[in-house]
Amino acid sequence: MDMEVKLFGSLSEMFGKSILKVNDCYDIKTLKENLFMEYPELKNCVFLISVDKKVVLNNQKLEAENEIAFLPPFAGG
Amino acid sequence: MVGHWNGLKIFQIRIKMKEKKKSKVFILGPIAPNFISDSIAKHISNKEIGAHDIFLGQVRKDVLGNNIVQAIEYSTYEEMAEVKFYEIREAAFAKFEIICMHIYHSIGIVNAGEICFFVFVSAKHRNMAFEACRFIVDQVKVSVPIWGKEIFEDKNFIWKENI
Repeated sequence: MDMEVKLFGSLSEMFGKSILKVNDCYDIKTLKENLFMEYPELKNCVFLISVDKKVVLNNQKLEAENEIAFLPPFAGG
Repeated sequence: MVGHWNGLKIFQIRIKMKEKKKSKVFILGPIAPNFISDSIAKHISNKEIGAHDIFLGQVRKDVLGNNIVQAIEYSTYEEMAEVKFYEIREAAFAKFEIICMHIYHSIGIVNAGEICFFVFVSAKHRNMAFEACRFIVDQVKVSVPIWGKEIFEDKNFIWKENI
């Protein structure tokens, strides 16, 4: 299952791109574990995860059509 | 037949207005003082309103160590931000007796001293306007995905974080 993770703010700057390609991540937990393994520097970053534009705090299943994003701390206003 | 046609036309215009309103929160660059005064002037026709409360966020020339902030470059996850602005709007109308509200936020570069955030709430009486305005400002800060890069005078930068 191929998926994309949208990156914003400091995370997109750190990776030098705004989309990370991932595969075989059937839930948030696996997604985090796989990405932490591939990019250990991500472990030191503070970010929230959103699925279909909603912040997700607990583990949940992922489907190919989900829109996933990593959101660094907000700074609006 | 004519009446039906007019009705349809009005319906279509309303949909267009709604769509236009949805995408109008973000303004490229600073929010001009003239834009703010024009917004105030537009409310002259609504005679129900007895109180307006306006919040303006301005980019601060912060000094961080040896660095001086020259500007903030704002970016967003627009699709999610629109959902969040809609939720804040719905929550504000459900929670407070307000007549209307408007939110504008800059995107892109805003120099120190310029306006980056404009919340305008109108109600019958002052307390509702004050409370709703504070609620909306706080909600935007905590829940809308907007990021700000504080650019220093020597062009280095750090990522701003809301406290």
